[in-house]
Amino acid sequence: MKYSFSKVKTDRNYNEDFKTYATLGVLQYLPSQVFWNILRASVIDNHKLPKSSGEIELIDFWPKWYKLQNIEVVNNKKYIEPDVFIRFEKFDCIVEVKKTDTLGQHVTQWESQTQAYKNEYPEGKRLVYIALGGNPNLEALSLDKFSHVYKSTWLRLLREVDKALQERISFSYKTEATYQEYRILKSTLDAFACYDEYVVEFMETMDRYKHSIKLPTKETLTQLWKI
Amino acid sequence: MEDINTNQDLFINIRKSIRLLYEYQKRMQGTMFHIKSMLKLSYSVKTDENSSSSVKSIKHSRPDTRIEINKLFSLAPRQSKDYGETQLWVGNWAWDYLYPMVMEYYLGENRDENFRLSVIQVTDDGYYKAVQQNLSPDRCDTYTFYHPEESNSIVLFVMEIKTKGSSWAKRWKRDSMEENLNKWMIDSREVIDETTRLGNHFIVMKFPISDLLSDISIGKVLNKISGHIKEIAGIKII
Repeated sequence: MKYSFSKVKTDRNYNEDFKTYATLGVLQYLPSQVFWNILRASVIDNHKLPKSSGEIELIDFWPKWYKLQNIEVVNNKKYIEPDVFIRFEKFDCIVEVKKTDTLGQHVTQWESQTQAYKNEYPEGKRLVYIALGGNPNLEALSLDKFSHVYKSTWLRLLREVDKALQERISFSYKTEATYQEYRILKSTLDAFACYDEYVVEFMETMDRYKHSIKLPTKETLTQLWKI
Repeated sequence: MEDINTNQDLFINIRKSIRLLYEYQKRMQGTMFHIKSMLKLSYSVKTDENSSSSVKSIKHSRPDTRIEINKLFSLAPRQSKDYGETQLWVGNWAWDYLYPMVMEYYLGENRDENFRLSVIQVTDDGYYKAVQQNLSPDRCDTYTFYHPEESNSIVLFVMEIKTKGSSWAKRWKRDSMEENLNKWMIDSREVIDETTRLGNHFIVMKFPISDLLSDISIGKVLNKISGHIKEIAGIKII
C-alpha cells in the first residue's frame, strides 16, 4: 500500500493509477462481499465466478513480485507489477487496469502476471483475473489457458456502483452501515465524474418498457380528433 | 392495425408513446457518447478550409463531453429573439419538433488517422421505404409511409478518411447531409464506398439499431466497421 501514497501513483496527471486508486481504492472500504458483488457484476460472462468471496484478507495496490521464474521478461524488468491484488478468503483476484475502455489489455501481460502470481503464491488458491478496461473486443475468451481471465469495463463498473448506490437510497430503513456504504459509493461516482464518465444506459434495458401501443387508423383518428 | 375506440384510449397511447420515446432517446444519446468514447473522437470546428477565414479547427479540451447535432428529415425550428426559444409558424411541420425521427450526431475526428464520423439515427425508415417502392409518400402524412411492422429503425455510420494533403469533402454540412441521406436510404446496399473528388474514402455503413443494444454488441459493430476501413483505407480506428 505504501506505493499508493507516492506522488507518482496518486498524481492526477498519472491518470491510470489515480483512477485505479480513486475507484477501486475507495471501493475496498465496502464490506468484502459488497465489494466483490460489485466487481463480479461488472464482469462479462460472470456466471463461472464464485458468488461468495469471504472476507478480504489482503488487498495490495501495485505489489511488486520479484520471482520471475518461467516468465519472459522484457526491458530488463526486475519484477512484475499487477495493478491490484486481492486475497479473498475463498480465492485470489488480480485486477489489471487500463485507463480507458478502448485499448491496452494484452495476453502476454495476463500470462506473465498469472505466472508471477503462481511463483509468489505457490500454495494454489483459485485465481480470478479481471482485465478492467482496455478491451475493444468484449467477447468471452475461448482459450483454456485464459479460462481464469474475465473482461470488464469501466462503464460496467460505474453502472454497478451506481446501482448499489441507488439500492441504498431506496432502503426504507437505513443503518449507520448503509450511510457509510452510501458515502463510499458516492465518492467512487465522484471519481468517475472527474474523468467525465457517467452512467450510460443502453437499449438492452428497454425490455422493461415494452408497452403495447396502438396506432389508430386514419379514419378513427379523424373521428376522434377533428382538427 | 389495431384500432382505438375512445379519446381516453387515444391519449393513453399518446402518453405511452411519449414516455417510450423518452426512454429510447435517452439510450440513443448514451450510445452515441459511448461510441465517441470508444473511438476516441474529438470534437473540432468544421471549417471551410477553402474560405478566406483564418479560423482553424479547434480541438475541444474534453472531447467526450460534446456532440454536434443536425436535425434531418425536416428543418429544426427557427430560433427566436423574441419571447420563445424557437418560433412556430403555420408552415412548420410537426416533425420539426421531433428530433429523434432522423438525427445526425457528428462525433468528431480522430485527428491522428484523419478519420471523421457522423452517426445518423433513422428511427423510422417507413417514408424512405415507400419512396424506394415509388409509392409517392408524403412526409406530412404518416399513413403514406410503409407500415411500422414492415419498416426499420437503423443507424448510418457516415465516415471520411482523408488522404495526406487533402481536404475534407464539402458534404459535411446539414443540407448536403440531408440530400445524401435521401440517396443512401433508397440505396439497397448496406455498405456504400465512394471516393471524393479529392481522393478521400467516403464510406456509409448501415446497421439496425437493434445491433446497438449493449456495449458488447456495439463493440462488435465497431469492430466490423474498423475491419472494413482497414481493408479499404489501410488504417485502424479501434
